[in-house]
Amino acid sequence: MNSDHSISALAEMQCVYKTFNGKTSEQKVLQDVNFRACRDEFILLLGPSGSGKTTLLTLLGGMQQPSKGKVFIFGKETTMYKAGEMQRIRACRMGFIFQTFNLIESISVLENLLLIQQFAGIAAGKAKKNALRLLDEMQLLHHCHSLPKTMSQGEKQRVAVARALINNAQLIIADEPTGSLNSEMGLHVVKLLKAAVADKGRCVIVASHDERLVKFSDRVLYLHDGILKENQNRLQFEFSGDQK
Amino acid sequence: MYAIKILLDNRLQFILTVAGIALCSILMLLLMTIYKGVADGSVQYVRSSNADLWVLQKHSNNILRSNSYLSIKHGNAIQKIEGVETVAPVFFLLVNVNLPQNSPTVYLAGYDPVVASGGPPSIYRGKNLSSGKEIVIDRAFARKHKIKVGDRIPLKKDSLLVSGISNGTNMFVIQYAFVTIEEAWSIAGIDDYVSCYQVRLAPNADKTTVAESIQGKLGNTVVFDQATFLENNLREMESGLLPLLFVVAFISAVVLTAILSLILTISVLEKRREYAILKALGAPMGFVPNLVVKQALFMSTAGLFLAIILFYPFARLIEAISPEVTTQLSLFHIAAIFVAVELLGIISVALPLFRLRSVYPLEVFQ
Repeated sequence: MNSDHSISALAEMQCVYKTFNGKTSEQKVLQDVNFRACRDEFILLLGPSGSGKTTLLTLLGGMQQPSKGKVFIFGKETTMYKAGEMQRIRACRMGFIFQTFNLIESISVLENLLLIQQFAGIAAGKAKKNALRLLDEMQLLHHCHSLPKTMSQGEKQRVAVARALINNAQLIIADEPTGSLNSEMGLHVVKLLKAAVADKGRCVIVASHDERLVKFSDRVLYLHDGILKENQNRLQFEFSGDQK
Repeated sequence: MYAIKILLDNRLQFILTVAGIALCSILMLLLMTIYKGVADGSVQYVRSSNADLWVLQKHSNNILRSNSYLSIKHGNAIQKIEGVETVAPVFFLLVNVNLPQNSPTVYLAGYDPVVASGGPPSIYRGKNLSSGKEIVIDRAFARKHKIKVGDRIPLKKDSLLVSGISNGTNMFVIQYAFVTIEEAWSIAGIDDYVSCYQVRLAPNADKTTVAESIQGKLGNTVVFDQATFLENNLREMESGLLPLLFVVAFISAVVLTAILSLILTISVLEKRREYAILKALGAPMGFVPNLVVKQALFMSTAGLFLAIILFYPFARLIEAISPEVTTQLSLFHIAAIFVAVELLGIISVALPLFRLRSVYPLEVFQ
């Protein structure tokens, strides 16, 4: 194991390549990607559609393995995790937010939050208390018994954020979290995520092609045709210029 | 609760599945209870007999599907054997009853009302035979053909008065009817032949000794004690009926499993994304498969409860349409069907679980 990935590096990629073999050709989705995600960071992963953002997130989520290179999550290479360990990591230490929310539609908002805590092994009584407190903070308490399908897009995404935060996950992976929301709602969700970083020293990695998120991020990574570039100074980042 | 909420998401599908399971369960339950009814009805005549020994022609061992011809002389000889108290001759023959609409067949038992052995197990309505021109018919037969006590029914060239209606004489495919042995001889056109003798022994007589004496003196006969003869008849009835019932029950079980398996597989496909989300969010390894197993057990149990509720109306309806079909539901049947349906429920999850293996957490990002 590499000594570089100290405990402050929640996720790390070293020379990562990901290719998909088609019938006639090989598609290179990620090429020599290197980056570290540490505590207290809000990382924005920018890039156009098809640039490999989602693939990068799935690698960080331990949902697939790189074709070449190494991916570390919480200090351990993802290939070294057993299936059950990876499940525990995802349940207890990682949170996921998706563009289409991916809430469980058959159960209420409260039950969505209880279910995720059940996965983390939190006792039912404590889980309910946690869920109600967080829903209150998110101003969703009145919706606790509502089914997701009865709620607005913005409310659904706030529930999704609550679900990602409820187990005190250290690493939050968000795939286009503002993609289905209007500007105001999108801004609100980003502020919630930003607050989550400031509050508990989490790391939030947001994949998006929404340039407006740049001003909220501590670091901006730009992914183009599978190649990752990093601009440490967000003020100097020129989104349009990179698209040349 | 989550497993059940997923099912209730598509209520029509859930209701139709439970109804399908209920119908299959009712069918299996009906087969079991009909079997019990038929098994009891078919051998009730033998079971309720007060005979200690049954004497038949050699190589015969039952009265359901076996020919036995003995003469009156055999009866006279048996009567003389030490330890024998009474000897009741019974003559069985298949006869068509010439009703206006059709000519159903009855299993006619000619017996001697004076000896009081060999007659109907019990009289449901009317009275037992008192003269030669009377007949006692089975209750299901009477109901099916709308025959009442006091009616006259034609048998061969005679017309007999229905003096009573009997219970415990329904063999499902055919029913007993009772006349005097003289009347039976007259109908058959032969005299002095009997099918078997029901022998009652004196209080202190030894069954084995008397049976050996009978067989020793009358070489052409075979003697059974009551328990063995009952067992013989039961086995004979089962050999004809059970294979058919098993085939139908097996088909019902296959249909039930197929319905459940199909619906669960459809549910897995419909809820594929939801299951992928659960896997992505860190659901424990067995959590999602467990949902499918719970759904299967919930649907099979719901179907079973519906079946038990609907069983009586169904059974009454069938008995109204076909009075010869009798059902006897017991706790044993309910327990057996419960075990069977739950087992089939578990078997039915094999295919959906297989489909579930190809649901990946990665799908939630698509």
